[in-house]
Amino acid sequence: MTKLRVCFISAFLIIVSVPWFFTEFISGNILGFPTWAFYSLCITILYAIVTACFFQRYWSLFADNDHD
Amino acid sequence: MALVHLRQFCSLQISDQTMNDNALLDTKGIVFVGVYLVSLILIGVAGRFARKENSLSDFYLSGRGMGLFVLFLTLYATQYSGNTLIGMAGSAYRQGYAFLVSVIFMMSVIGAYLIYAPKLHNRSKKHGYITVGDYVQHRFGSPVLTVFITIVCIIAVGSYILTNLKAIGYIVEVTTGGRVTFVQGIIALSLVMVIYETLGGMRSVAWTDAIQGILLIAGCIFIFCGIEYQYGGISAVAETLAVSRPDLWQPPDPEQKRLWLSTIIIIMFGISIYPQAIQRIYAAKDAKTLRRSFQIMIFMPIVTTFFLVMVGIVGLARFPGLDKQGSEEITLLLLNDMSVHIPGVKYFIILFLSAAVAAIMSTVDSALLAISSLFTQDIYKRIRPGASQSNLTGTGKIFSWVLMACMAYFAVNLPQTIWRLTEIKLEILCQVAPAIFLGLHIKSLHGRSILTGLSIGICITLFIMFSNSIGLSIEPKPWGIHAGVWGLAANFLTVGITSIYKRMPVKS
Repeated sequence: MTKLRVCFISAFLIIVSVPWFFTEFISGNILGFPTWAFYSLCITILYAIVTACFFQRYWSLFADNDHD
Repeated sequence: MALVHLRQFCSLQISDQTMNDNALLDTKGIVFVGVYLVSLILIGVAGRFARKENSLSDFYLSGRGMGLFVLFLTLYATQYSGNTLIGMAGSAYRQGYAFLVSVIFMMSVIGAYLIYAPKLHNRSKKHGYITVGDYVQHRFGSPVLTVFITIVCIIAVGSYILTNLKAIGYIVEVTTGGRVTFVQGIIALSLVMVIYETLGGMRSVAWTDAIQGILLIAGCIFIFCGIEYQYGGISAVAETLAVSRPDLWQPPDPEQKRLWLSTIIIIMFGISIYPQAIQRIYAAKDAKTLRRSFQIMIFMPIVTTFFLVMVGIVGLARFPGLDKQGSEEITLLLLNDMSVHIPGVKYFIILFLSAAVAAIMSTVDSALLAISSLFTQDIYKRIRPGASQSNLTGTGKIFSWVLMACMAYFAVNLPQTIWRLTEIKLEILCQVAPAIFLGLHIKSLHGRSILTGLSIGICITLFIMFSNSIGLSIEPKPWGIHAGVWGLAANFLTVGITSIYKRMPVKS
């Protein structure tokens, strides 16, 4: 994977963590959160896991001094 | 700043009784905090004895040998200020579930490190960087750009110290019921910080940060578990709020969603390039240690920010109808309420207040050390290039004392109108981001492009923010987006356009 792809995936997760697609009022909750807040929280946790994996796997890619 | 409202909390609490009767910290609590402060000075002395050489690298970067435990805790304590402990719960109280944005914006800061920390760490080891200015000078070879970025960093971090000092004064006055006044609190804690900082430099700051970080984590976990035990789980609170505040179930409107994303952007690019954070990237023992620290740090918003958002939401269910000032004290209100039912909770209050003081101190001491290094390495060393390492270190220490004295004076006496300037630190600081994020990865990027982008970015940000003051009707956040983000977009765009223009072949 290239550096640009890693950045793109991270940016994508950050952008979709905003509940853009929730526009209507939905009653009820999931584990104590409104549906849109639960969705946002799930993406946030996914972002943390993905970023931790990126640190493990692509650290050397970003440390590379020869890439332009 | 959120903590400023603690003063009003104090005045509300003392309406019928004397201040001393309403002290949140009793004599035992004050003794506990006093012992804690003395221990910080002892750590400073230990840091002094652990010194390996009298050099800038040893003083400001702890000899570039920081291990995983200390590095992680000092990164953590530096990233989370006192505002995290007190202000975030208040914001969650007012905004409800929408403030869950704070969890991802704190995570995005760590995500941003992946882009530049690996390479910057390598380069710092290879070329002996001490400050962010060292990298800028080495990468772009432009003294004008280096001094410009150094001044932007000093202004941004200086304002950060000011707001935190003011907050610590209020906390001390409120929690001791006025036995220690606002001014005395600022002077005493400033003295403690500058003593241990000048004794051991980064080594002392990092060690004290480690203790402060542990206090901060413990404070967050204890208060979250306490409210879960006392008021039922998140689901029980949601059922209460579904009846009393059904509006919280309404998703954010389009402008709020844009503001949500804008907040993430401004914090991601602003906080991730704090000079004190960059110093810790330089100070890491090796790349593996730094990488592991970030891998732990990415999950810390869950046990810090998320827990405090839940505290605010539980407070909303338990104490509805508080105004802005009242909501800032929601954590203390919950702790007081719990202490009525659970006697042992009064010790939580001492722990929580100690954690709040610790959080602010860890932020201020790191910022102080960062400014001291920026001045010594990037400004003083240019004026006196032949100065020895011990002379530079000594100058840095003297500068720390002078700076802290000025900051303490301004924290007490600065006119309210000037405080407006301290609110824009992140919006200005994030304009430095292209120099670091792009500069490290695009070899062909020229210093002039960065300088032009930086100047345009700052001008646009200031123009939008202060347009109302000069009679123009431009919103402070046009289209729900921060002025700093508009400035940053123009900054990146300028850097891109000027770089492409410079690459174009010149026709004869």
